Amino acid sequence: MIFFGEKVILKVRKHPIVFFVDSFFCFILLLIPFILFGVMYISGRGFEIPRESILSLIVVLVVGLYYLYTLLFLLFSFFMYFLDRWIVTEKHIIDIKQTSLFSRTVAKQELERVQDVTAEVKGFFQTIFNFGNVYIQTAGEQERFIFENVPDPNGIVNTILKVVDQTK
Amino acid sequence: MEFVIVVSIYLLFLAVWVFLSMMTIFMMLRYQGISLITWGAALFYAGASGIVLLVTMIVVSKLEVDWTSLLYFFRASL
Repeated sequence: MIFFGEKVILKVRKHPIVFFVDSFFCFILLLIPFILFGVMYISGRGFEIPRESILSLIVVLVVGLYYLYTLLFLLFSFFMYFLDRWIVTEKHIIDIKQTSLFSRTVAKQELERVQDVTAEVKGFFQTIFNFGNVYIQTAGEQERFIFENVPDPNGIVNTILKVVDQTK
Repeated sequence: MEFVIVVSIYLLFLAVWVFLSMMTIFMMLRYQGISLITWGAALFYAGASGIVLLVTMIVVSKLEVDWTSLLYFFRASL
């Protein structure tokens, strides 16, 4: 992926807030059974299932599976966050995209072909937490590289432009 | 017989979960290598899943379910 002796200038992942949003969603999912059982307990229903009934076994096993799959969803969110990354070396830009568990795309472009670099910070949360997209227009087959939801997009643009200037 | 069906479906879903978990951790180690973050994530996941499985087993053991049909079924299938 990176040639021997090639100096890595920048390694970027998405802003941690992106993973935090997914984690928060998982946290809500983990709380749902507690809320449901809490409501049932307060209303005085739901705990009348006899212990020897098959329904009690089904409820316990389904709740157990629900928690296991929610944890899996959390691990998968981390997996997607962790393996999506962009690398800028002194000669290339590398875009590594994990689209699913068994699907991964690695695109590489020479810095010499970079024509235009744009930073985009859009919306309330992106402005507050200083993250956004960086668009890199190149003359290659894949005309546009997008660094999605990366922290400090303006700083990244400046770094890339500085490296591009040194290359040309 | 109902117990056999319920437990079999549970075991099927559990097997799918185990497969997906192992694959996710394996792919993470494959692409990112052994690092503190990958090991941390894997250990955290294993710990949390272990707790869920343990609690499930404890609660199931408290149920007064007639396990004999299940026992007979698995003995017969063996």
